[in-house]
Amino acid sequence: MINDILGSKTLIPLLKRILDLGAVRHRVIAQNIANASTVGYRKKSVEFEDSLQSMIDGSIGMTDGMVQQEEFKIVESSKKPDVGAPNNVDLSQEMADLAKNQLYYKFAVNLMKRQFNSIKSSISGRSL
Amino acid sequence: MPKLSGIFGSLAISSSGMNVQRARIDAISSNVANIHTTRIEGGSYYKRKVVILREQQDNINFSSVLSGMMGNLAGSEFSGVEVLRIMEIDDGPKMIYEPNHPEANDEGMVSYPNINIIEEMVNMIISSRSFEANLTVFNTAKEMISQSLEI
Repeated sequence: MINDILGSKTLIPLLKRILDLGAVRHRVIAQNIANASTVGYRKKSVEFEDSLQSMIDGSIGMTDGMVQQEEFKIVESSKKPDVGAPNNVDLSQEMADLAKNQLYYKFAVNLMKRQFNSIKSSISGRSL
Repeated sequence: MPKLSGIFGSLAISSSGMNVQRARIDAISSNVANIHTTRIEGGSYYKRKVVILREQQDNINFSSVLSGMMGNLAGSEFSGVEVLRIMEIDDGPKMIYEPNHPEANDEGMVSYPNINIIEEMVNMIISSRSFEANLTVFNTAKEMISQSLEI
């Protein structure tokens, strides 16, 4: 019962995964920006596997404990660097991705807060 | 033990990025400060310093290398950037005719270091902007951490 409320019946497990993805993605962007002037560095990016996408689509049920680091794939881009550039990192692209990822993270945090607030209000029996 | 791979790891990555940019600024300031140096210890001329960077990867173990080979770097512990070495570029002295200079040779030529001040200034701006970019990433991570504490 309590697992239903805190787990599969809410968006909390999904949001947990989205927050994890946001953290991993932030780390990859940090690595790309830190290596923006490293000669021969190759830009990394996060790919998430179909499991999370199908969970967002709703074709797989949400269960607790599905969050695993291994579900995110970090891949290196094989794009050729521009002529004269030390590597294939595009700094303005990375800064844009950073801003996007931050908003994405904030969105998941806010949704998570709402989920907990609705659990709290259903426990106390009055709206918060 | 959980890996420091979440949001806290990115703070370390960004600070390593800021560190290497500071090392580059150090090399540039040394080059600019020595633009009129006619001799260094040992009697030679000053050589332009260039910082060589390398991507830092810690704790490389078999499974992370294997999964990296298979196209998934999620297990590898990349942790920013580091200074590989500081190279001295010897592209010969810049000989300038100054017969009254005390360091002039028999033909009246003085050997100045081969430093292009414009190149150094451009590199300085690049380093300073890279530093700012790393700082922005650092501050974003800080904001993300404090946001997640609000849950």
